[in-house]
Amino acid sequence: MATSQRASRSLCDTFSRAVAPRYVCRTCRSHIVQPNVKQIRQATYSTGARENRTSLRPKAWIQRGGQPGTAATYATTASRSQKSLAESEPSAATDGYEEAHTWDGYEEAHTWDGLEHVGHQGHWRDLPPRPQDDYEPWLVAPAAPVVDRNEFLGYLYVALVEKLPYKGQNPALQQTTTDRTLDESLPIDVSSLQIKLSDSGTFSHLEDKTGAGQGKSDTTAAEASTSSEGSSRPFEISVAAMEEQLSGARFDFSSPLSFQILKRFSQLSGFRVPDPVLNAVLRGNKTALEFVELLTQSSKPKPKSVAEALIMKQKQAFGVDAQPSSTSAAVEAPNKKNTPPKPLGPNVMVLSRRETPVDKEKEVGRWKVIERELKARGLPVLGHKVLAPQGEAWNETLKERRL
Amino acid sequence: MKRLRLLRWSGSVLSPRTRPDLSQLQPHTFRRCQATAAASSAPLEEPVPEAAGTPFLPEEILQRLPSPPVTAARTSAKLAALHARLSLPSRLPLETLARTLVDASADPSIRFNNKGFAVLGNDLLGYYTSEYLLSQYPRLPLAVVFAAMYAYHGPATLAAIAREWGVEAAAEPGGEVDPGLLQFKRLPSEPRPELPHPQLISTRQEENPNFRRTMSSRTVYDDQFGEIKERTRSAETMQEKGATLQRASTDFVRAVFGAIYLHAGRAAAKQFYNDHITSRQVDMASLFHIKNPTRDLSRLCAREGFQAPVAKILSETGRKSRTPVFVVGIYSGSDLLGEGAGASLDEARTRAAVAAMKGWYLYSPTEFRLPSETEEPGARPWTPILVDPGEIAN
Repeated sequence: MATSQRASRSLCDTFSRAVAPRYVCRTCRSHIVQPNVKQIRQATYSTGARENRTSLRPKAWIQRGGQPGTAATYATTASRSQKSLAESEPSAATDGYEEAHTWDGYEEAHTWDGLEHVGHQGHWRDLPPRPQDDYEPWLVAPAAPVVDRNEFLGYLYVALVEKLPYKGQNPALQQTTTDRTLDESLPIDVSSLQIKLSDSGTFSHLEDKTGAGQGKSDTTAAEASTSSEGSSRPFEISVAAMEEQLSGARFDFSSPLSFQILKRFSQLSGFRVPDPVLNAVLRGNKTALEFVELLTQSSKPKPKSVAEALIMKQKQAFGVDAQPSSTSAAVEAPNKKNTPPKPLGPNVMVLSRRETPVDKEKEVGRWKVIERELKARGLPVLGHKVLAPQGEAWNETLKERRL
Repeated sequence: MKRLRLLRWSGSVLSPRTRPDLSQLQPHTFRRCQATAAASSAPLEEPVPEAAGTPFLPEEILQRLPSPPVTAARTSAKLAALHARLSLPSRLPLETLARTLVDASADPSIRFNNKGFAVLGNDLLGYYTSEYLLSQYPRLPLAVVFAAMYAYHGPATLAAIAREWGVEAAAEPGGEVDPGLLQFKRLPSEPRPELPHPQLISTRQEENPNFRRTMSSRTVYDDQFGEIKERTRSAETMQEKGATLQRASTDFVRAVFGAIYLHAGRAAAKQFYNDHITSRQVDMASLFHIKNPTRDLSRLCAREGFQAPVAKILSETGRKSRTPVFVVGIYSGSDLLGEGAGASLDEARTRAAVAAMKGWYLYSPTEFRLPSETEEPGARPWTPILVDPGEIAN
């Protein structure tokens, strides 16, 4: 854009001087024959700008409103050319300039008194909190985050029970979904509830099981799930039962109910659902169980350095530190082949820190000889933090000698 | 032929390696189990530190060990690289390869050093090399056989092989040292011995110069290279003092052969031998040192019933010039035995006689089989090869 503008302007300047070249190409010939209005105006503006430049330059900041015809630089010319022709009338340019030039209400400020105060003036630690500073977070991260899959599953189940609409006979659950919380005062049996799915496989509503009453006695593995307040009684339901109900169920991200469920899940578990996990669930059309697997995988503490990750990988590959990661890897990367962890190669050594010359001497066994000879001569053993701690015997003797 | 049951006596080589004599040698006792073993047999009476069961030992404990622990072999990049570089069979574990790198001077316990492997490997090398030499050159004199054996797997050659394999030596043995380094206790720096470097065959150093030792006595009493065997007592004292790099490298290469034989079997050891020893080029003709070639040649012809050798001038040039060249051929009847060129007639005749003698000694059958080939399953029965009546008496 800018290049074409500059080229056309130079062409117009050239032709306005009426210098006839020997050969004119077809495009230039058409320019000569029918010069468009835009180019003509640009030519006039540029000439006008050259005339007014000396008077406008000291007050160039006044022209920031985008008034045409005032700036002489190429950039302003280019930006101006993108505007409509109606806005760039030469008469408007002269009016604007006159108006700015003759405005008397402006008074230049020399102090910042009266300006709006933004931020603090330092010592913010000493300022007492104001009422608007208090806020109640919707999610308080616990000290020990949840990393267990079954706990995630239980929290998700409780969130579903609390948020899904209920279509049944139990009057305790007939409240609105926003007010319903599973606590002691709610005389319900979680194992008697059934999560119903819609035709598309998304969460629909809650229902009573047909054989209610026997469900609690059938539970074998106890799964305790508590609400965020911690005052509710444990509702027992087996992991297998939860998995059976959640198998094949998906989130409907077009419905706000799913986000209410996820928010309640985050409040219960204290674990903020990461956006990449949600994105994977959304794009991959994953089920709720796969969502739990992804969460379990992502909630594991990440290694803090590359060396730690590589050492862990080496350990896994060599079987020193065996960790079952086949299921999580399958869920995490379904498109890739489910391959076991490959080592970096047995001829690769991963060190936890930078290798020092002392380490190299130790590797060939020379360091103990150096250390022995240094000590035999009463010299300090330097070069390693552990080997020369502060306050060692030789250091004390040196200090005494100096004194 | 009597067959040895290798597995019986090699059981000590492959047995679980604990250190029963540590109480005498080391103030602290640590359990070091070899990975190829099922379990340790002898329970230790002294309390074993808890760290002994973990793969990574603290540095204080490592520095007290005379050689790296067995568990360190898996984490050594040098060792894995050496294993891959030599294309060793996968049945040879890294732990055993690490053990072959520990010289007896570094770790005196035979359960942790490579002495057992080295003895076996030395015998294997001698067996394979001698059968190869005798089958390919059945008329070689014994002195040349000794020299060729030395050239193929003598200490200097094996040290060169270890260097070509990229094996580096540790400065000082210890538990913290990388297991991929050759570990031995170096000899303290001393002035070079007064004796010159022992040369082969004819000018070797005798214990008693007045005692005449023949080639036959060398065959019976000496080692595979015709050298005097080291006495056991002197070997132990030398081992306590330390070892040279050449000695440690030699034992390492021998130990690798022994370890391959024990872990991967005879075929793998033979293949490894072919790859690394037989593939080396040895100029057999340069090993000869014939003092009286014309006399030996006439004796040879008399022994074999040929006509007496006659030297004839085949061609000559520049007889009257400063640099004449004579080409002399030695004939036995009408057969040309050898041909040589020299600046004088005597030199040319001697060269021709040497060529004739070398042609006799270096006879090689076009096809030959090795005795060890009959050990393979399904091998053809052994057919006798040419056996020379013996070298020409001097």
